[in-house]
Amino acid sequence: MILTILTEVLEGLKITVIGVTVVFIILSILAAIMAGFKPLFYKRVKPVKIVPETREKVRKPHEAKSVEEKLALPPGLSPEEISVLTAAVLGFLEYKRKKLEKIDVFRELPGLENILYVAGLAFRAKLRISVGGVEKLVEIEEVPGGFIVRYRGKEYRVGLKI
Amino acid sequence: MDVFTALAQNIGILHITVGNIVMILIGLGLVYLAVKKNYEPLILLPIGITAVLVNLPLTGLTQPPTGFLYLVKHYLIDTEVVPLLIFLGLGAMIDFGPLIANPKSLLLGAAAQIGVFVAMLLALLLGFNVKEAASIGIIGGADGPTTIYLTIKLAPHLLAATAVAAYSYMSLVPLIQPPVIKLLTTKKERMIRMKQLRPVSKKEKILFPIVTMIVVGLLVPSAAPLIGMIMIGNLFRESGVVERLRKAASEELMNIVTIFLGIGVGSTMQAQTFLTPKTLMVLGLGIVAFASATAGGVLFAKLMNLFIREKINPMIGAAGVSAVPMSARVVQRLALEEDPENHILMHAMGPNVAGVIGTAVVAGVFLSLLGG
Repeated sequence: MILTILTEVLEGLKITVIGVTVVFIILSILAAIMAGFKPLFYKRVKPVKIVPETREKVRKPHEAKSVEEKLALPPGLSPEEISVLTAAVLGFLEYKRKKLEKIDVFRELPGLENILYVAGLAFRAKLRISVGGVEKLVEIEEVPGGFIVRYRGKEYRVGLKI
Repeated sequence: MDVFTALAQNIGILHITVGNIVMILIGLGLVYLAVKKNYEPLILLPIGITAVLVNLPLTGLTQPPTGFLYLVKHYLIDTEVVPLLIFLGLGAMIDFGPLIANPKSLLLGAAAQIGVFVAMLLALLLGFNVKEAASIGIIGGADGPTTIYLTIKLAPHLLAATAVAAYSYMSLVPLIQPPVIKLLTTKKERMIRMKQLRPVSKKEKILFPIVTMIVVGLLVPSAAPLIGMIMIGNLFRESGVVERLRKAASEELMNIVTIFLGIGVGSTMQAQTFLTPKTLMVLGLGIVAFASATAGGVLFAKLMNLFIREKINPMIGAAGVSAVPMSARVVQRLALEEDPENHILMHAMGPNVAGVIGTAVVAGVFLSLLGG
């Protein structure tokens, strides 16, 4: 019995030596081939160097000359009006998008909405917007080249170019 | 009176044995582990419930030539169709990118196979014959389909025990591996950070399965069915031109063959074949196989660190036991325990998928040396 087991163990040891050797040889060959892939197929993307002069050029146009210039407003409009008009236009665009996305053709071809006006279809909406936490009611309609926004009895024409 | 006798002869409960009851309890135990503990539910649930079914007397489900479970086992499991199709699906699911980016991972996948041989030698010492011992040892590869494939060829009578051991212990990887890893590594080693892996091009990913299939097929033809299937599946995935085939292989086909594998293996869990001292020994040796495979990978990684400039975290060697992706996740969790910013999951995935190739090669070697 013990002799049989010993014989089997000896055979097992032989299989172990052969098995471990074969596994290591085959996986080493594969590893060597994989290592060869790198120089053949992998090209490291060189990081783009930004030279100081270029950086200067890029930065300049964005730099405001003074605090006053940063806060400059279009003539005749208060900061509150600017905020209301901006929010009104953004809100209107979102409103229009949501209306149109219910129709398959606009979902598939979003560019179509830009030519609706040509076909005589203009959108108009009354929106409740919030500026600085205060709710305001505005009326807005599409006109060629932009929008007309009505707010507190005044009428504003807002141009939009994309 | 004859009618009553005939009726009595056909009432199952009158024919149930203690062995059947024990097996029904074991089957229900597997179902419990799958449902309650989420241990490899995709395979343990069908195995468990089928084990219950085949131990109900007089059902005739496993009786040749027409019993349903007999047909499943005979035509799908015994012919190796199912394990090979599982490999095809597995290939379609695996990303070999981390392995291609770091080819050294292949050596770690090879090192973890040492566990297979340790368990085999122990099985020989316990009195198993060489073919049985090889089937038990392969459990250490932590690869269910390979275990089933090899056992069907070398020791079909041990199929239920080896399959249950392989799948049960695969789900127990998070419990088996950490103590072994911690025992063999220092805190400093577990904190080693590794450089981010390079991106791998599509060309490399397409070439990998083709090259691997040819190299392994030429050197160890017996491993060609397993490696071939996994690489065909992987080529479906990486080529990007057969999306339908990739999806079918990794989802529909994989699900179907998993069902057949589960009920096919479960059908072998009949009391008379499963309730033997050998089964208990197989289950015990299975743990030894897993633990020694983990140790083999970790120790080899430490050995590699003596010779290479950019040190590797030795814990990734433990992922060489191929239980994809559980062992890689275990390694990642341990790394984060030591250093919350040390993410080594992708590094661990390399040895993890290398382990799949390694186990298939070992199975091929066993088949070459011991015959099918």
